[in-house]
Amino acid sequence: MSKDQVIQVLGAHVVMAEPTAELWHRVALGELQANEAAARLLGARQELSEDEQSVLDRAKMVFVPPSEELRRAQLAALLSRRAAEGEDHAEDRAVVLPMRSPRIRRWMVGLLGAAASVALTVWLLPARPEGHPRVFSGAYTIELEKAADTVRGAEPRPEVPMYPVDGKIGIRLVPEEEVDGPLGVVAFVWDQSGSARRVELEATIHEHGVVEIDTTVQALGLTVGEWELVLAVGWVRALPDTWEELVTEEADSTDFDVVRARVRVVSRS
Amino acid sequence: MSNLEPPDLPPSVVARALDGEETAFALFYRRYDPTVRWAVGLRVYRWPRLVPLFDDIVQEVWCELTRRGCKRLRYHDAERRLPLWRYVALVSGRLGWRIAKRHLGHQEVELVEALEEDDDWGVVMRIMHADLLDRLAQAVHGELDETDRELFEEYFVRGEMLKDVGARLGLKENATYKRKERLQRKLQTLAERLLGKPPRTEHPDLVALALVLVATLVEHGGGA
Repeated sequence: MSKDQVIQVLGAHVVMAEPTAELWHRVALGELQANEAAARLLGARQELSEDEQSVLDRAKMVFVPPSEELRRAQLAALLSRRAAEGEDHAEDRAVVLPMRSPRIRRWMVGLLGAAASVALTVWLLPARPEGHPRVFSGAYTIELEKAADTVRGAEPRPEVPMYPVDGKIGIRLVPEEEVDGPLGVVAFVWDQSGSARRVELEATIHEHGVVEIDTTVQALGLTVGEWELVLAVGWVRALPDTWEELVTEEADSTDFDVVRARVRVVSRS
Repeated sequence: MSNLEPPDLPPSVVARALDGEETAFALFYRRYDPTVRWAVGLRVYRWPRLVPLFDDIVQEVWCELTRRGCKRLRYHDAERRLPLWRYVALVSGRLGWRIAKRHLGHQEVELVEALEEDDDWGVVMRIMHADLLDRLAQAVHGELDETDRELFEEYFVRGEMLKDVGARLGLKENATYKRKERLQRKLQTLAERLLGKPPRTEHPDLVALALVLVATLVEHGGGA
């Protein structure tokens, strides 16, 4: 092991434990204005030396939360970098913590126990009463329609469907298996900056669970650039209300499925 | 360390973020970017030359955190008592210190750090996860002499240039470097002691040889 890691981490810890660090922490989290933090640090003191004032000014500049534009740009750069790094380091994803090894046996025992409970539950549970919604199949595919045909000659069709900013978008959600029950859809648009926006859409739900949405680029609030449409489709009572709920519950939910499609909005046709 | 941070993201979201799912990663970034900026800012704001570079340094830290499939972040063990935000802050603070030193031209820090070395982060990870950094900081004050304490504070905490710290302590450049190396070893030993691990000996082969000799003597003595 590199011999300086303990001391360097300890150095970081000591800096963070200093009394002034907490005030700047509140500024970084957006809970406190930088000027307010500076005023609290000054306390009853009327004057500061030139050096002290300069340190204070620099702290105010550093800890104030960045603009939304900067955060978006930095996230976009990180996402592209990660995409470029891609599968080169897929093997690194399975890091085994040396400290975890003694617990494997406990986990195995726990998992076997859980498996036995599930088996017993399935065996002992009574049949579902009539009228109860069917189990959500949980597998939808998304089809986009009405994309602009910009392919000329031998040019390959673009990977991301393009829509003019004044155009229409047709979205069709098709279940892998027939779905019958109180279905609903919520939609979000996301521009890779991390901040997603919920959009209200009118969806037509057909028999067997097929969902069709006929809308326009403007109704979705999309501007020129690349966007991701993220739709949650499933039982109405279980649909996520917010983006955070969607991202948090997506992996575990058995009541709705999430489908995504990228679109590129181009200037007027 | 302050406890102002909002709750950590659920482990399932963190796992998906680290696995490269964009929406989950974007959520992860939004949640932990203020933490990273705070931790890095604490290492930077005292240096006028670094303040204009602050956003670039933060971005470099994020690149390091997410390099090789987020390898550094995957060392966090959600089952231990160390919250993820605190882990992110500590690792970012350490990386920020290294990157700041590079921008300042402090050549005494090895500027290229092979991530492979981190495969053996054993002691520092266990210290962090067991929340023993406060006790280690107390040990620094209790067990190190004045010069070592000064060296720790000025170099590893404030980020001063090593030769400047040495000059203030009345040490020659070479002696300062050696002292810093010795201090790192001492801290490593203190950390191992806190974890209950026997300190490493400088001559493991001699100890092993002595044990074999003792065993042989006992065996012969018993047989006589």
